[in-house]
Amino acid sequence: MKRAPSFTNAVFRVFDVAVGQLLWSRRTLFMMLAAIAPIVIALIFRLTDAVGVSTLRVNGQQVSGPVMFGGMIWLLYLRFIVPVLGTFYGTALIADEVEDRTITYLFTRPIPRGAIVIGKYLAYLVCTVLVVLPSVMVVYLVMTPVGGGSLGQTFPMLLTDLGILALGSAVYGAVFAFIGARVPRPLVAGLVLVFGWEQVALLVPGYLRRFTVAYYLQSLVPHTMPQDDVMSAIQSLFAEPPPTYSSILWLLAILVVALWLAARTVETREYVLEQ
Amino acid sequence: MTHKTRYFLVGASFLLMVGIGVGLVAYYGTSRAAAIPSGLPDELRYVPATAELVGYVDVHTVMGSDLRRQLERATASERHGDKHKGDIHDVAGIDLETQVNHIVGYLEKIEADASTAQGAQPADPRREPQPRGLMLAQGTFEQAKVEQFIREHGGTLEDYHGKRLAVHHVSPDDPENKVRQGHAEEMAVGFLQPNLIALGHVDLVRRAIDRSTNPSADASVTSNTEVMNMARDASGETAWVVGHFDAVSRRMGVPSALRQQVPPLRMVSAKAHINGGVKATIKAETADQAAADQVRDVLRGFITLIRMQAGAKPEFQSALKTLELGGTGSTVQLSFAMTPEVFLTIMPARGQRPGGQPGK
Repeated sequence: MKRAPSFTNAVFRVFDVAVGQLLWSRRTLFMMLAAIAPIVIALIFRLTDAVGVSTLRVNGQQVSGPVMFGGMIWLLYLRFIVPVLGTFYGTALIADEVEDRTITYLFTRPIPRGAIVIGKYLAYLVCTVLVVLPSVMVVYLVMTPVGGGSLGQTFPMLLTDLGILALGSAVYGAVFAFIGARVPRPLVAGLVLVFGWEQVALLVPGYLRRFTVAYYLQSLVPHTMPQDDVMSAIQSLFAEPPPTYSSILWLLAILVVALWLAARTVETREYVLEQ
Repeated sequence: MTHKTRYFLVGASFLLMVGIGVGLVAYYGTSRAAAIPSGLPDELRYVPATAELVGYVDVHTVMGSDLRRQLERATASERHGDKHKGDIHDVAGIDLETQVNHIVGYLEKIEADASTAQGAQPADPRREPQPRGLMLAQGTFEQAKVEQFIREHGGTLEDYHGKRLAVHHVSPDDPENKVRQGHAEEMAVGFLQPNLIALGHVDLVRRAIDRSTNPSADASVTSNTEVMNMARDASGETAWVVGHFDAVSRRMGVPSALRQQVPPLRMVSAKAHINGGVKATIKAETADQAAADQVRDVLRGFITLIRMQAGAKPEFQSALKTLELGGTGSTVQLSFAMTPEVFLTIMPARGQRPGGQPGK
C-alpha cells in the first residue's frame, strides 16, 4: 500500500499542477496586459525622446527617465498591478475550485488540505513574480537612460523596487487567498478592500492606515511619491512613515497570519457546492 | 508541469537575470567612477560636475582649535559688548559654532557672454555675471527653529519633492543684499536630510534636493577627475578649496589684464591644517612644464621681494622662514605656516582699515 505524501511533497505536487492552471487560464490575458502595458508606455516615452519630441515637462524642465520610472513604480505597479493581480489570482486560488465544483477532487486526495492552499499560493507567487518583475526590468532598461539617467546609479533602487513588488505580491496574495477561502463573493470583496478600504484608510488621519497593506508597502518605496493633488494629500499624511524594519516585519506578519488563516479555513470549513 | 509552462518560467527567469546582470555591470562601473574617496565628505555627491570652485571646512575642528581660542582671547577686549556677535555665528537661525560639524560649498560655472569671453573687463563691474553658490552644512539642526527664523524674516515655506524648503526673497533695493546688489534674489534653506541642510540660491537648493531624491538626476563632481584628483590630495585637512583658475582669480578680483600676464593655469587648490596655527599649501596645475617653470620663476621673484620688504618686521620672520616653493612637472606648490601672532599682526584691528587709518 502506498503511503500518503508528506506535507512538503503534497505542496510541491499541488504547486506543479497549479502553475500550469494559473498561467494558461482565461486570466492570463489580463496578466499579460498588466505586464505589457507599462513596457509599451516606456517604449513610447523612449521613442519620443529619441526623435527629439518634447516629453513630459514639469516647470519647463524635462522629467528624467529615473523620475518617470519612479512614477511608474508608484502609479502603475504598486497602486494598481500588484494589488489587482493579488485580488484576481489570490481570491481565485480556492474560490475557483469551489465555483467549478472541482474542490471535491482535491479533497479526496490523501494530502493535507492546508497543502492545497500553500501549493496554490506558491504557484500564484511564482507566476505573478515572474510576470511582474521582468516587466519592471524591461521598463527600467528602456526608460532610465532618458534625460541623462544612469543605470548604475539607480540600480540599488531597482533592486529595492523588485523586492518591494515581490513582497507586495506575496502579502496581497496571502490576504486574498484567505478572503477567497472565507468569503462567498471574494473578487468583489477583494476589489472593495483594494480600491475602497485601502484608499480611504490612507487618507483618514489617525491609526486606520495601520490596518492596510499599502501603508507599510508604500513606506518602503525609494522613489519620491508623484505630486498631483490627491497624492500630495496622501503624502502629507505620510509625513512620518514607519521605519523600514517595522514595515517589513508587519508585512511578513500579515503574510504569515493570512496564509495560516487561509490554510486553517480550508482545513476546517465544509464547502457546500451548489448543484 | 507542461513544457509550455516550463519554457515560460525559464524564459521569464532568464529575462530577469539578464536585466539584473546588466544593472550589476552598470552599477559596478558607476560605483568605481563615482565613489567618494575616504577622507572626503559625502556631501560632494550634491555638488554638480560643472562646479567651478569647491571648498570644505571642518567647522568643528576650527572652532575647537588652539588658534581660534588664542585669537578669541586676543580680540576679547575689542569684542566686549559687541551686540553683533550673534550675527557672526548665526546664519538663518543656525549657530555655526555649536550646530555645524562641517561645510561643503561650491560656486557654479558662469557661462561667459561675448563681451567678457575674450578677457575684456566689463564696463561696469556690477554688471559682470556673479556666480551663484551653495553651502551644504552637516550638523545638528532644529528644523522648526530655522523655519521660524525664515518666517520672521519674511520668508515662505514650501515642499519640494517631499523636502522642506524655506525661501527668503531679497529685493534688489534691500541693503542686506550686498552680494548681488541690484539683482532680485531668492535665497533658500533646504533640509536634505535631518542632519544636512543646503543654503544658497533657491535654484541650487532645489537641484541639491533633486540629487538627494534621485542620485542619477545629473552627474556630481565625483565624476570630475580633475577636481577629484586635487580634492583627494587635500583629503584629511581642516579646510580646502579646489577650483578652476579663472574662477579663483575672478573671485579674488584679479584684473583680467593681469590674468593675461600670468602663464596659463588650469586648476588651483589650497589646503590648510588648522590647530595651534595654520599650515597651508597652495597648489597649481599648469598646462605644461614650461608654464610651470615660468610660474615658479614669478613666485620666486615675488617671495624675494616680500622677504626684502619684511626684513624690518621681525614678527613676519617666522612665517617667511616657512615659505617653501616646490612642485614637479606641471605642478607648482607653495607652502607656509602661520602662528596666531602672525595672524594678529596681519589682521587689522576692529575699527581700523587695512591701511592703518581708524574708521569713522
